[in-house]
Amino acid sequence: MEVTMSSNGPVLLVTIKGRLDGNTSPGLERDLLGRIQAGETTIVMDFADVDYVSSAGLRVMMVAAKRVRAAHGSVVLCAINDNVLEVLRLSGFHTFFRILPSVAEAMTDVTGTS
Amino acid sequence: MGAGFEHALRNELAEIPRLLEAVEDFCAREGVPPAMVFSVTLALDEIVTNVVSYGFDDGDAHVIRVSLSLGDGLLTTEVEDDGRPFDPLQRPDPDVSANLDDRTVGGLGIFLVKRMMDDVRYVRAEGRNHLVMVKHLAP
Repeated sequence: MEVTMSSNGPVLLVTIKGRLDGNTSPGLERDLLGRIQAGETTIVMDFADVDYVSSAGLRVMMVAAKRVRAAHGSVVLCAINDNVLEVLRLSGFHTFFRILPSVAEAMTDVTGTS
Repeated sequence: MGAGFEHALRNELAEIPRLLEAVEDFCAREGVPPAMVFSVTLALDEIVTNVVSYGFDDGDAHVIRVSLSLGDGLLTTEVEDDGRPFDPLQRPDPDVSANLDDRTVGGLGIFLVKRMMDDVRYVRAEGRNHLVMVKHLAP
C-alpha cells in the first residue's frame, strides 16, 4: 500500500493506493493521527485506488473520525468501489462519514465552497 | 465433483497477503464471481488475522491450516489452528447503528464475517479450533 498526504489550503488530501488491511493499516494510523495531532482536521480520503478494506482499515477510519470530531473538523471519503462501500455500509460507517463520488466533489464539500 | 485448495501458513500477519493471493488465484481458476471472492477473502483475512493476533500465548511458531472446497453450489472455507480455544461467534456484535461518539473501536471483523458469509460454525476438537464458513454460490 502507498499513501500520499498533501495539504491543499485547509484540506489534507489522503490518497491511498492498494489494500488497507492488518499489515498496512498501522502505518496509516500512525501517519494520519500525526497529521490530525498537528492540527490538520479537515480531511478528504481518496479511495479510488483502494480495492480492499478489512476491519483493520475500518479501525483507522473510525479512530481518525473520532479525533477529528473532537477537534470540530471533518473527514469526507470519496471514490469508493462497490465492494469497499458494502463493507462500510455493513459497518454503519455511512451514518457518520460523508461519502462522495469524486475527489473534486469531496474537496468542494469539505471546504463549503461551490 | 468439486475442486479443493489447501494452504498452510505460520502465525505471522506478513503471511496473510500470500494466503489471500492464493485463494484469489484458486477462485479465479474455478470461475467464482468476483464479489464472492471479495467476501471470502475478507472473511478469511479477518479470521486468520484474529488467530495470528490473539490465538497464541506462547510466542512460538504455529501452523494455521486453511482449506477451501467448491461443490454443490457452495464455497466452504475452513480455518484450523492449535491456539487457545476461541469461538468468535460468541463475541457480541457491535451496535452499527450507534452514532460516532457511542461507537467503540474494534469488534467489526467477526461481525463482517457473520454478515458476509451464509453460515459460520465453530468446533473445538482434539485441541484445535475449526472455523467453517459457507457461502452459497447462487444468490
